[in-house]
Amino acid sequence: MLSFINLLSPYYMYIKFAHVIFVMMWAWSAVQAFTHYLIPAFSAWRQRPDDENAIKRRNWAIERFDDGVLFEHIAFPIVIITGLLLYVLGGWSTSANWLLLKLAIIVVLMIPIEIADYYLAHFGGNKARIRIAGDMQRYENMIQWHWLFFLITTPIIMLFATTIIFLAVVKPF
Amino acid sequence: MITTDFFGYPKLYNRISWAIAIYTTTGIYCFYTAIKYFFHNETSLLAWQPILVAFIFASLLARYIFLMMMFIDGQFYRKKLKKKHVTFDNKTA
Repeated sequence: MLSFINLLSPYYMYIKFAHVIFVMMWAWSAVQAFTHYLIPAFSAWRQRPDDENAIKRRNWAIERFDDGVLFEHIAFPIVIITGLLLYVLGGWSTSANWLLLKLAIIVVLMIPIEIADYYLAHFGGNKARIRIAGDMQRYENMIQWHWLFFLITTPIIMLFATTIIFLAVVKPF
Repeated sequence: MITTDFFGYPKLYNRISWAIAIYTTTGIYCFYTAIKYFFHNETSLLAWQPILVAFIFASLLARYIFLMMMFIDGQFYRKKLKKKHVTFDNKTA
């Protein structure tokens, strides 16, 4: 373990660079697609739930979004790994209050949210795969669960992702 | 016929927002306090003041989550925003 730390110690700033880049990718890569493609498509469907065009566009948007969040979901494990490396190599401890609060937010909120997001976008909830399998009732159910997931997690992520970045940069206490 | 009516409604959003706010605040408070207590022997967070602050934060968080859910789901701005999005397909079809 000690030799591993000694081996990577000179690369602390490079790992930090990777951490910051992937945090940016995790935090912002899906914002534009979510705000300007997904929400309008779902809003149109919510207003006219029986409109065939609205349903088609909603389905297209969510299937594209399932693929679009790939960047975010590649970035997240890298953020966790590089974050742990920085913690060990930098000699940080939980006596730093800002770091402890940041860790609490990640463990309590971000990891469960991302696990649910992985499932809904890439695994059992992947809409394109369900449509190809022909199970249209499950397709509709998964789209609705995904929408509820967005409704719940959007305010959480807006507030707490900003808080995480604020804590890391400002280190206020 | 597969229904496309969404199962969400404001009362459900209100319940969800409270559940999420309580989970979030309790989780972060417990995680933070436990680490401080078990690894650093700090007991300053085990007083009524931090718990009161956590309760106030949870209440504000629940309200914020509820309003955002209503906003994103289009309950507040439906007429104002939706027209161009709703009519887009019909005009171009």
